[in-house]
Amino acid sequence: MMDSGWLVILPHISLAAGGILIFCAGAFMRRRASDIIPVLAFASAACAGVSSAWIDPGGPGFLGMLDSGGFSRFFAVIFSLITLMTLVFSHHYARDRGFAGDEFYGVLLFAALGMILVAGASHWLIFFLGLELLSLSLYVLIAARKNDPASNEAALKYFVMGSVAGGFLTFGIAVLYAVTGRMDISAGLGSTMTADNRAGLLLGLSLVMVGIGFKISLVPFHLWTPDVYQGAPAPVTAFLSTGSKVAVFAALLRFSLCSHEAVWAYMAPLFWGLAALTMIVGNVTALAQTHLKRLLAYSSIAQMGYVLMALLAVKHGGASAVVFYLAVYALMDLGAFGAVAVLSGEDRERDDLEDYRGMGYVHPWRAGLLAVCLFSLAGLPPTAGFIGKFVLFHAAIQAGYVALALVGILAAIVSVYYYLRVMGILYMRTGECGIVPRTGILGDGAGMMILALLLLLGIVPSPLLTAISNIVSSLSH
Amino acid sequence: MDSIPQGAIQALSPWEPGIFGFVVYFILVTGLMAVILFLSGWLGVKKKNAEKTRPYESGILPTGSARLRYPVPFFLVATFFLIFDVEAAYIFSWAIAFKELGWAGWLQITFFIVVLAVSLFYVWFKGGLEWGSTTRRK
Repeated sequence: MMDSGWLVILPHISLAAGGILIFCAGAFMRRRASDIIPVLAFASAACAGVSSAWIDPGGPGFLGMLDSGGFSRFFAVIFSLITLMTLVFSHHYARDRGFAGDEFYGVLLFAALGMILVAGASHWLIFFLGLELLSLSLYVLIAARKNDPASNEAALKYFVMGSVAGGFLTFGIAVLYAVTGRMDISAGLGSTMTADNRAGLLLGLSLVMVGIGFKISLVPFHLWTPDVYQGAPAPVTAFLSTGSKVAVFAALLRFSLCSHEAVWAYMAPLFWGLAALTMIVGNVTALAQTHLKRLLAYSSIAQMGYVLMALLAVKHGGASAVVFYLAVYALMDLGAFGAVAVLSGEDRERDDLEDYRGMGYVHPWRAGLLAVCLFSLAGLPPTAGFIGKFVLFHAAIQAGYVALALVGILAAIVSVYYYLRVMGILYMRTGECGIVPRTGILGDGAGMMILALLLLLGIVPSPLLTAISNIVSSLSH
Repeated sequence: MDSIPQGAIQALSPWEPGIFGFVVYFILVTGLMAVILFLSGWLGVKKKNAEKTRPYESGILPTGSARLRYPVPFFLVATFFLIFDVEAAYIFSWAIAFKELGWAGWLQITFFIVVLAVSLFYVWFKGGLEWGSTTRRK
């Protein structure tokens, strides 16, 4: 247990050690804490990213409970990047608003650790532990602005509903274990369905799906999303909407790939309905929003619907489309909420759409980041969102889900309206839009990097697509 | 067994766990409860006085208002207690398998305890153990 296991958990150790060191620095070195803490956080997230990208542990670790294949390493790199970007966006934001203590940075790293565990778990216990670590950290992060009632309300809503959903998930895992007798995810879900275990298997899976549906806000379980996204500080919303959703969706993708054909035959119609509902309700409700963060929240709900549609094609080689879109989605939403963070005023966030009037002329670069991310979310070329949507719909149609793809395409056409409405407010009118504080060279750099990556992946997507299809094919064997 | 005819065994011990018996039981219990509650409410003498309407609290006379504010440090200390109480559960489970786990297990549990000890110092330095103080250290 002491030999090969350590390489597998190198990214995990780096994040956990970083978190503990940050807490120690916050308590015992109070004089210089504000200088040390961001550096420590940045370093440990970077270490996690580098070690998961370049060090191949060559086999699963910890009695096979933790996957170390390309799939989990790819997602570990994505989560490290998301954490780094969130750190950059929140650096000035948190300091100006007085919540840049050790709690914020330490808990952020623990949340990143939870994401890596969720995406890399091949054992139900690890999955559950990771999800709980992620959720508990997010409750704290959402309430980071302690004196803001909206922030507290958002955290309380997420906490109450999240713990109920967590209860469903735990009970589902228990039922699955009772029926299959295996805590190993692929062995349990891959077992054949017989007349004896059908009821238990389906009950367990549907309970697990309630928990997962809450976390990735599929439509019957989505009602918390706009309130929480609006109440949380904008960099935390960026982290929440990308990291948490991508992590849980990666786990869902693993479950779907592992599941036996007979089990999948029952899950597919459920996913069909959820995907159609999510795409329609998410996009239609977004039309009526007058607050940018709520609009982006509904847009992120709809985005999950598109990915779920392609998940249906997972048995016909659609998995790489899902992974590609998840990566692109992380970039787009990180950029959009990050732009809200760097465009926010000194005392409060710019929430009403009218506050963004003519912003494109006053702050061309930051508004440009928001504009490109919205373009990409709408799926317009030449951005990565276009290629992402293209591969998603291609996968769905290839697998024979033409009707669902049609619903998705119609919903996407509807969605273009509200994305372009924001563009209109940014560029077509002029108005008084207040003072925007400087965000420092790092924040601008992160924005530029997201912008460049979105355009680059939109124009030359094939290297990433090839890499992803190699990763996914290694997982399904 | 031989002396008892087969038909009699089936008639005397028809133990087939089914839902029907449970349903009958459920209806009987709820019906009986409803009847008792209704009769005692209908036939009973209702005379209200201050002594009867007082909340029963294990024989102790309640004093003061129930609308009092709990001091917040109470919840904080309760949370700390929970966290460090769970630590004990882990240490017990390690102690049971003490010999099998060997030195590696000893090192791991030591690391675990050290991290928790550091967290206790963290709580202390952050002023979490100061009862009712309004001058929070930053």
